[in-house]
Amino acid sequence: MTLTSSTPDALWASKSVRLLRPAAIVCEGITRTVRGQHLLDDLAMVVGVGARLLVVSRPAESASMLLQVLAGLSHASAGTVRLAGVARADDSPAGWARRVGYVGPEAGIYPWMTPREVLDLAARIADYEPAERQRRIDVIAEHYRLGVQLDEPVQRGGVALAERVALAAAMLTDPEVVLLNEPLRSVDPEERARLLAIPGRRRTILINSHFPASEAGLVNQVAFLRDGRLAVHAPVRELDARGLTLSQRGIEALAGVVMVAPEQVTTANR
Amino acid sequence: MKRLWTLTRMALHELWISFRLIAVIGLPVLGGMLVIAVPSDLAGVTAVGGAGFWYAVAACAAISIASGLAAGTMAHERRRGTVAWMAVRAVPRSAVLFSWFVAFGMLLTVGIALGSIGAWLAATSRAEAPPDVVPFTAAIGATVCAAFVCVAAGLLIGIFLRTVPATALALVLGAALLAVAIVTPLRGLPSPTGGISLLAHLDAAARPIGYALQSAGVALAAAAVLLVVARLALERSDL
Repeated sequence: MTLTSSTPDALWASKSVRLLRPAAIVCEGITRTVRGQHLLDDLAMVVGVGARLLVVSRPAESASMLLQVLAGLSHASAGTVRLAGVARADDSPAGWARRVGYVGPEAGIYPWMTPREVLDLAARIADYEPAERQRRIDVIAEHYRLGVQLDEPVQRGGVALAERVALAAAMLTDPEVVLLNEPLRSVDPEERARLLAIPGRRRTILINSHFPASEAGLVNQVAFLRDGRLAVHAPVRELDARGLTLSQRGIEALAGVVMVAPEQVTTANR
Repeated sequence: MKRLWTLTRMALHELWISFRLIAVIGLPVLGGMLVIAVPSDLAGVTAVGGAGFWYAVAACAAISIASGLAAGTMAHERRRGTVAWMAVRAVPRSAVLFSWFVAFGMLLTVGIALGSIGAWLAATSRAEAPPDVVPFTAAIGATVCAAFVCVAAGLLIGIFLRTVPATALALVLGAALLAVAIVTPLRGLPSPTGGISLLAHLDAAARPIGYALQSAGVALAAAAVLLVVARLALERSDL
């Protein structure tokens, strides 16, 4: 049985269920080579439900590739992935489309569309009824402060608005797993921190960032991939305990001292 | 089907907003209108044959450009992340590919059909007796099917290359294939570009309707094969 954040509350309240160490993301043996470089090499990783995990890597492309593989945008040559209880991207609107959200470095939305049109399209693809669609658009537009610009083409607001709308569209379905691959690069730091402080105790978030320090306060776990393999996966407090900073160098240094098993992290997170 | 129609509408809107729609519809229409301007000593043995030849030349240019635009569009869509935006929402990549094919196919069909009216009017204005419209219409239908092949080829190229090289390669490849179809005398065996060939050599066609039907069938089969290959390539590619 796979437990996800959509598992009913009553079931979650059970001690025996909590002992099952629910995992939102399970990767086994993921391998991906690009131009002779092993970006992912037999990677195994388990991320518990509710984790806020910052993934950094050397080479830097590995972490980005991992998120792309998880999102179904790139293919692994070997290995299996399970997100929010779903093994692969299917075309069922109630499945993958609602459970997993992804925001990449590019907003990926047509600049002539208005934020309302983008949100409406995302809601239609997720197959919500008209009333539910409207309710979700209203809620998300308010949270992401799109009110004034809701009916203006995205291009008028520039890249920053496009990125905000992309995040809003990803959050429209209230996904259980959110994959953030270098998100909101053009948004000012304060607003970025506010937007990325995504609520939800059972929501699992993976962030790949070239600037780990900017994710301080947003994540509670860090992972470091070295040559495509998991070198460390530990709670952020492990960094603090060793006087290391939340930076690429700090996380790499942590990888030299500690290798925390994913199971421990899952437990620690809860 | 509902999802495909939504995606096709978005593709048409994107083509409209970026003026590519005007090029895809406008070029064959302009080509058809220009047939009347061809000097009478270059207008061919018969009025319909001459109009058909010059319209085939115009359609060759228009279809090649549409093929280039299709390639550039697919490459650009992948690069700017719009295909990825769909894919992460569990929209099948094949649906995105097919929506672009339908959008370009619809526009080219409208453009070639409207342009053929201009070419036909040019033919009737020069003909001494009312010409038979059926062979000409059959050739136009087969030309539309040849256009589908070029669009499918363009989309396939766009999956592998970046925007500019994809556009250039599809344009050159489409122009070369269609030019060969125009200059090569009509043969017994139909080919995917047989519609253009028939249109350019209407006077020499012994059984124009049969040849048009066969060419259209071969062209549709070729387009289907190219789309299947493109789908497989898109499924395997990184977005």
